[in-house]
Amino acid sequence: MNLVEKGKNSAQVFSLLQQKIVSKKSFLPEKTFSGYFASPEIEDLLKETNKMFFWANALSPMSFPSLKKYESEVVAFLIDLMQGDETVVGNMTTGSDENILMALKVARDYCRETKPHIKNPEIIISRTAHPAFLKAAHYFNLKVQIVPLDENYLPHLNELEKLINDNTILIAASAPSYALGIIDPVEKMGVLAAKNNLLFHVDANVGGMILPFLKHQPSIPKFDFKVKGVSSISIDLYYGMGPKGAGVNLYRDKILRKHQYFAYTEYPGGLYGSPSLTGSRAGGPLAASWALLNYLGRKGLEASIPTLPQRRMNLQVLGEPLANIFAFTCPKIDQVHEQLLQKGWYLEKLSFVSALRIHLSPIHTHSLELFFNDLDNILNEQSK
Amino acid sequence: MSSFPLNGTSKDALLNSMQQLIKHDANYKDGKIWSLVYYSGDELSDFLQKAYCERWNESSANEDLFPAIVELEKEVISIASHLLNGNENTCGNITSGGTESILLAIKTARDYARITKPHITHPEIILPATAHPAFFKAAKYFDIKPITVVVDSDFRADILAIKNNITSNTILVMGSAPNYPQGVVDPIAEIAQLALEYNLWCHVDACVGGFLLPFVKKAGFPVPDFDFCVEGVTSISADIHKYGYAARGASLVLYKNKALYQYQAYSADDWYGKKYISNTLLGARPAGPIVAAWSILQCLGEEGYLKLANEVMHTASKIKNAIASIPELKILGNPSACVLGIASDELDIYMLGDELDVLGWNLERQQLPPSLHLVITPAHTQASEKLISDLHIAVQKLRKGKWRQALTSAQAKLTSMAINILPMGLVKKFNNTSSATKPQSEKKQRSAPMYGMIGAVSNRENIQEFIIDFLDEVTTIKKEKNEPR
Repeated sequence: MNLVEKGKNSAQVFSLLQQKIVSKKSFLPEKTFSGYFASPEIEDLLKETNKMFFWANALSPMSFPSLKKYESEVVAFLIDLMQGDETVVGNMTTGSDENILMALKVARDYCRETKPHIKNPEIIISRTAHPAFLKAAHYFNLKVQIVPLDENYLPHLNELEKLINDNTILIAASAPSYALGIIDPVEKMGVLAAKNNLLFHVDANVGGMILPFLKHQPSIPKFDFKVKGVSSISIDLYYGMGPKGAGVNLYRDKILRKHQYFAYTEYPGGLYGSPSLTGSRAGGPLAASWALLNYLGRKGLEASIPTLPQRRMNLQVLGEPLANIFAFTCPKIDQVHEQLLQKGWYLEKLSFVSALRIHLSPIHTHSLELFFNDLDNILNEQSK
Repeated sequence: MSSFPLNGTSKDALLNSMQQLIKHDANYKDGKIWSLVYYSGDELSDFLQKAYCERWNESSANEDLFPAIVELEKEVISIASHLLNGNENTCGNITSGGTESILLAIKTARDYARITKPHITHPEIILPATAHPAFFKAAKYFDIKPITVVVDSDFRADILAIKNNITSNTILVMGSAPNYPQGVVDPIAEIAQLALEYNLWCHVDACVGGFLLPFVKKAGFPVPDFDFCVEGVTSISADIHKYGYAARGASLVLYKNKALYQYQAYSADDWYGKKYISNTLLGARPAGPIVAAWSILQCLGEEGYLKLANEVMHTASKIKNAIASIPELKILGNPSACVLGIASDELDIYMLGDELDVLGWNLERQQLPPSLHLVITPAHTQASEKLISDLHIAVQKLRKGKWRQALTSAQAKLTSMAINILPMGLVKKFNNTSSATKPQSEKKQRSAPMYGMIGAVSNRENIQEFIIDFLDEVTTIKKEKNEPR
């Protein structure tokens, strides 16, 4: 395809864009149980603030002091939310994958310095851990040990302990897991990490902006810096109504975080320092994140967190999900999935178990009843 | 100190405080800064913002959910492949930026070599000294040894130096088109020839030039061959958000064919979720930058890009002529486009930078050799006249030895900036270190401006520490007086 000879005017481009988008079958956000969708009111706030800082580049905090303020305050808010003390530090990132990549690179480089005898470092993750851990391990030459699950879809702690060896540098927990919405036993894993002098990363990408606001759920297990042994936590702001492309990675102290930085002194273009994986960083998502947290505050977030529906007799939910994600199974699940898709509902199908995944967002408040009606109808049809 | 806000703040109050704060940011619209932002005017800016927000909440990750975004990405890749003389085999992805494109190309080259040259257990890549730091970052991330080689007196990669450093562990050679510090295009054809001869991967970093050089060439300026038309070139990085004038968050990594590209993606079905395929480093990519990139290509077209290329080249030649008329100043090397390094054998170039700061400009300071940096964009078309006259004024001041006075104000500004950003102890430490390493006569001259200080420090490990401390400070909250909130 060649670049068009003559440029099109704005109206022509948008009409062409509309054609391309409309011609492709897509799912309505309120009928999509994947990703995270904020209310139109929040979307407007995010768009407006993103536009204000559209051209700002956080690669140079000296040129854009506004972004320095927004980044440092968003990080401070999240440290508070994760109950970190004054030694906890962090940075904004582009989201989940960058968070996990950086946490593992930090672990590798930190251990190269503190445990130089380890030549072939290993990490231990649960079977439910996000695949970005596997990707990171491939990138950074780490060996992955996978802990099998018990009957509640939690990592088998005895098995975990057996996997710890002289090459282990880090264990990871999810709070909750992306796939099943189940929170790993962070406290017990923290004990194992501390006992064996290992780093311990908590992947709270999908839960960091949800779990602290579930006030009606007293049974949420501890998962943050209050847990002994936790050395880093990642949070994706997008899964808490933030803009796409905004996350926060937190470390227990500067000594650990230093290994996330890249500094290069010999570049003719000048001294070069970059806090995370990307080089130039868009200012929009940083500013929009700051605006969101200030606009809602704790109270606003508590009010807008989607809650899990009551248990349904005809569905089997996997394990004990406590947040806004769950997976369920039922007879003839593939046919059910197909029929739900036909009715315009998008759900991801899991592997290993025949189950469908639901990720609730604030916009599902009204559509959830409709979904269960459709599901009931499909199941009733089948049982006839 | 800054606890999570308990109550919300009204939208009006927030927007108002943000409007106040943004006033302290660099002024890119009037062309006062000469890097970081590629602004092409209010009209295109409005257009881009609209396009960016069109599919705000979608991403490229899921073809089931967002097929249109995947389609738009394919079209952008196809257009860029043709622009860079690729063919129907050329393939790649849109990434978040030049760094991600470079990291991916190096990761892919490593994984390709693991399969095709399994005897190499300690891979090396050869980097001309002017290569972007992202290549060194990639080497660090992916456990590859970077071998830095000198550039020639015109700041072009030195072919002999590259050749002499090729070993049985070498997996990749590269060149820049152009390099960022001096805007000079490396001898890509010769580098690619070496790659063919030694069976190596050859990456061309056209992050700056990918969407500029093809149009500069069409406008009639001499541009050496640098893209897929050169036999031996295996991958190219090209930022759409630089001279493609797209919204931030859009770069390209392109490969000659699928046989190479197949090593880029990571896929896993070894987990509980839906099959995971991650084409790029960062997983799910926001749709905004992809839609904006596609839209700007449609909006500008060949004609629009050619017009903008002529515009920036015209500004560049005006500035070059002005520099030529000032005997103390010179342009480094032979820049092919509109990215220039300005140096001086007689004046302290950093002091000239400080003088220009005082006059309201903001030029990047470079090193090795000390120089000022101009990345010329359409935002500088108007601004260049004033910059040229201010250059004359600033040089005149330095000539007359009024620099002491000038320094005082620049010093005051820099110091206040430094105190905001840097730990005070560190600034002092640098002052002391740099004074100690310089002869008495130079102390005064070198003691204040940050970059002079840094240039004067002989222990580079200290500078490494300095950068890390600086980065620590960025996310540290300081109590500021009268801060708008």
